Amino acid sequence: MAETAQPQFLVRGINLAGAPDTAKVKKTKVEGLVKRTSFIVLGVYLLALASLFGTNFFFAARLSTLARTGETLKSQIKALSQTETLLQTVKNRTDLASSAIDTSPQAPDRLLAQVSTMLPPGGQIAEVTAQKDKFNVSVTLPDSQTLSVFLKNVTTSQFSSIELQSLTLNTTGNYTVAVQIK
Amino acid sequence: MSTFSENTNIESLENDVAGKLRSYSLPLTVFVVIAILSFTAGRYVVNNIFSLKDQASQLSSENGGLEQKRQKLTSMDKNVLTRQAQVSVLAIPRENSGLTALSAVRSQAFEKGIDLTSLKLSEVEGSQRGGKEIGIQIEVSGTLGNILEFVQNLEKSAPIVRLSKVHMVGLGEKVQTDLELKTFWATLPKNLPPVTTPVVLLSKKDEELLREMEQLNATTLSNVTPASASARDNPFE
Repeated sequence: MAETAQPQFLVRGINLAGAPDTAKVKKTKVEGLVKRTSFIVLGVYLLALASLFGTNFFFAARLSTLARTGETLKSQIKALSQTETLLQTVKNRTDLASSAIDTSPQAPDRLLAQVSTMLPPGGQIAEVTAQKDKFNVSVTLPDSQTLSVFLKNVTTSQFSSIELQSLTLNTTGNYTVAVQIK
Repeated sequence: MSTFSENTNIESLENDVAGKLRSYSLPLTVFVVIAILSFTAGRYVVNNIFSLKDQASQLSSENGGLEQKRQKLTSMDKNVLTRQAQVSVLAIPRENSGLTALSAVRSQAFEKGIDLTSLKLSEVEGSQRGGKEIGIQIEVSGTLGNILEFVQNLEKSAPIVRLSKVHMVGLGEKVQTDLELKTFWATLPKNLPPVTTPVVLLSKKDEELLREMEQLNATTLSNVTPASASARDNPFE
């Protein structure tokens, strides 16, 4: 008996569960994305936190190194304390000397030294008063020629202000000149 | 009394909310964990980093200053400094210089043939900047040239003596002079400044002053020799 041909049927898939709910599928996809994103965000945050701790550790180590270097330098400087003491002594003395030594042209010693340069031969000191910012000179001169030499010496000196206070001719023929110099 | 349909609506709403909560439980948990970590560990670490950074910057600057100070001190010649210290302390002694200055005055007066008629020593009030001033008032008579040389020589001697006032009255060839001089002394610095204080080297003006001080002639205190015995047997006669 010949086998009968089996009927050929094209069977398509039959979704016995019915058509899928697209909204539910979308919702499931979103939930999955949110979960994955959450893990990623947490991972990145923990990485950032770990790098902050690393930075903290780096600065702490740097501070420790700097502190050690500072202590070494301080002990080296303390070893040079004798040199520093000598320097402090010299500096102290030069500071005191700079205020003690008056180097201005109006210093009394400099004013006094001027007296001998201004006085011509034959002239004599009558009176001299020299102190800081005040210099009065009174001299006795034998004749008018010596007088003009003295006045020339005074006017060509370094002083900026020269005031003739008195000029007298006494009975012996001597001139007495008094000037105030600043 | 609620109906069956109302109860069913409430139940389904509750189920809906619970379902949504379950869906978003993980991101919510992550958010909470991040918030807690940020407010605790995160904030502490960030504050600590800024604090450490400031401290490191300060220490670095301080170490720079210390290194400069070390280099300056190392570069100085200790022998030169010792010599400068000796010269400067001779010029401005650490003890009262009145007697030494007085010795210089008498010695110079004798050398220049000047008559020293009056002598007075006093400490000047209100001396400046940690130093002390001793005032010396003297009356001398001699020629103008000798008196001027006397003053100039005094000013070339150590300790430092400076003329502050002079009043001369001429008496023919001779001049009667009242001189006011000043000499100086000061105690030495007792303590070094803190190690972090920068060191100040000697300036040009300091070097010039030191050169001037080196030119000064040191005065030694002269000894008083006892007078020889009287030739008279009875000194009261």
